[in-house]
Amino acid sequence: MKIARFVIALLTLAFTASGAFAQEADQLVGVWEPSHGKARVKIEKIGEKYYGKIVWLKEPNDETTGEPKTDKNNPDPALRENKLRGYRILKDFTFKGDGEYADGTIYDPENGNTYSCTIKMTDANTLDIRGYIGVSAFGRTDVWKRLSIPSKN
Amino acid sequence: MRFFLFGAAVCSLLALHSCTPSASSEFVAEQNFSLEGPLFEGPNSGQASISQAFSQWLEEQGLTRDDIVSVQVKEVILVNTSNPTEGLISDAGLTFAGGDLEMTQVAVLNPVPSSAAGAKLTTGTEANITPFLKLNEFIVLLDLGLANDLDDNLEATVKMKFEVTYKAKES
Repeated sequence: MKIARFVIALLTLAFTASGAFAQEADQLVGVWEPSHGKARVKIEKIGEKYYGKIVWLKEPNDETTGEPKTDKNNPDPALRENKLRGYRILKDFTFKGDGEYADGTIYDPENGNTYSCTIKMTDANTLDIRGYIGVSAFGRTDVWKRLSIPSKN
Repeated sequence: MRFFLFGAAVCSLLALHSCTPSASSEFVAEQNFSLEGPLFEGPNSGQASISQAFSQWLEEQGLTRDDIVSVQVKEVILVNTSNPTEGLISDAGLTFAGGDLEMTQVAVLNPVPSSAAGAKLTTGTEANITPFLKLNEFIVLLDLGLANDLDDNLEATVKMKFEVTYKAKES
């Protein structure tokens, strides 16, 4: 009887802990603005990972064509017609605990390069986004701020 | 000598592998996506899975996922949507995600013709989707750019045609 109670207590603790872990991880979900203020990125959870797509651009249209900007530097020529607004630039992030998300990538539409990336949530409304090549020490960190957007209703 | 023997063994294996007979068949999935409203103007997404349909197809062919050599996307068509408003959908994209694999965009169309129904997406030439089809479960994402806000849900049906190359069974 004592063993059964102990097992139930352990299982309850495990479920509670995993729920709290998932809740902490989901704090990343929302709309964020990089320091340059030229874009806004919506981070969402797909499956067990986190992804961020551009949902707003300060200058949405191409200067020369006047049409919405496209991903003209995509390494795959067949996919260059992608609209930049809506394009996922943050991909495949997994939550590691303690506000850290890793194993992801960040795409720079300016040059078509993809970099390894880590995200550190320093507080509920601030992210340190670090893009790097190879080793994390050789990279650049940008600070993103959370935006609250009005609901549709 | 050991090095030579190792080299010979590797060459034999490669030769054997290249001689493995293969065959290919077409797998077609017609999948409904539901985008829950209200929806904002701009990018919106819906998720679905074709894994079960693919498992069933493999079973009908007498195959398992281990038999798959490669998979290529042949065609992606936006068959229809629940809202026929002309010009509502400005652009569309199809993406795969799952397991430990990197999210991969499969097809895109920008702009989508005003009627949208029957629009054929441009398939990526460099995307390797074989690892996704080898997973028991993966997610298919439909991204639709909307020209206006929409208070209702939006349903969309997408037809995906794949060419599956597999190890041929010896008769």
